[in-house]
Amino acid sequence: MGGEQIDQYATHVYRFAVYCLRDHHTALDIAQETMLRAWKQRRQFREIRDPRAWLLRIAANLCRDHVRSLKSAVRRPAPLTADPPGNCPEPWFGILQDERCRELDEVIQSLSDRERTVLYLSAFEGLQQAEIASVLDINPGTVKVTLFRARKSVRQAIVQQHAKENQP
Amino acid sequence: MTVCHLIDRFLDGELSGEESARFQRHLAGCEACQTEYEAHQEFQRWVDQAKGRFDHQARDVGPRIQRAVRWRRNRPRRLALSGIAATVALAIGWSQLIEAPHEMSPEVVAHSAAKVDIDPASEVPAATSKASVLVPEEVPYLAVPLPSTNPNVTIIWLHPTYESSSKPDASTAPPRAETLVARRMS
Repeated sequence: MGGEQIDQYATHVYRFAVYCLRDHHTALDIAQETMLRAWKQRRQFREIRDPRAWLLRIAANLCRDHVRSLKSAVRRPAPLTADPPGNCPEPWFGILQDERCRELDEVIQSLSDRERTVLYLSAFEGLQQAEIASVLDINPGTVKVTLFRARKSVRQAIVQQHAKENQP
Repeated sequence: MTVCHLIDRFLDGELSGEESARFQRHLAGCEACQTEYEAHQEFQRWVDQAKGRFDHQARDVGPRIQRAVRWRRNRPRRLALSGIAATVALAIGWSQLIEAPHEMSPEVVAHSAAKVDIDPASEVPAATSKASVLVPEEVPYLAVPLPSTNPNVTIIWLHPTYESSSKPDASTAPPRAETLVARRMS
């Protein structure tokens, strides 16, 4: 894999940074820094099996550092039904602006930060559990349990939505 | 034995071929698993649509990041080239300055004005007289008045600002030497 080949993941990295930080400009900076760091480590490219997970891990660390630098111990995302700040496209927003997904919105907001992030990496980025564990630097077993819980909540919300629609 | 608990591994593609086939058979007859499976599929459809919308909105972001990263990647090379270019230019300029210092100094000639008779004891400045200072036309200069303790004397330092081989721009050229006025000592 060469420097040009990792360029294709720039949008993925940006999307993940937007998800983490909810700020278009900071997400752009984080994405650029991620791609630059990846390029500087290009000698390791051959050893990397999944470049996307590797890049997202770099981005996750940078996002974490950024949040720490702001001294925000816990950054709860803004309400998902609100307009994204600064015309910033927000990954979940595309789903949750749908009137039918109000229950889903509430469910996703009620998830813990970790559950939401694990669900995002699985559903949006299509990462396997081991890759998610690598990106977030947590135990694969924790990812499995967290993802199971988050999915269960989401499925139940959808099933309840269907049940309401089918009521006479 | 029920295999309902395998639904997540099935959705993640973690089951072996045999296990997957077994679960699919189970799925066909288990209403609870079908409901869960359909809910998951619906959620994933929404996610895909949202991802498509996001990527459409952010379609210019990828190339923008790539351009910025390429620019930052090449910064050390650009700085090195700039340094080399600056060094070469400095070396050329310095060598020309050393080789042809006389060309950089225009011949300045002060025209003597008519002699003025004054009283040496008088504290009133003598009537001043214009003195022309000539420099070659093609050489612009800096005219710097220098401090003088004698009220009857004004010293103006003329310093060429560039090589005589360059032609000055008419719009930016300094005033002609003839307009320069110096108060001359009587």
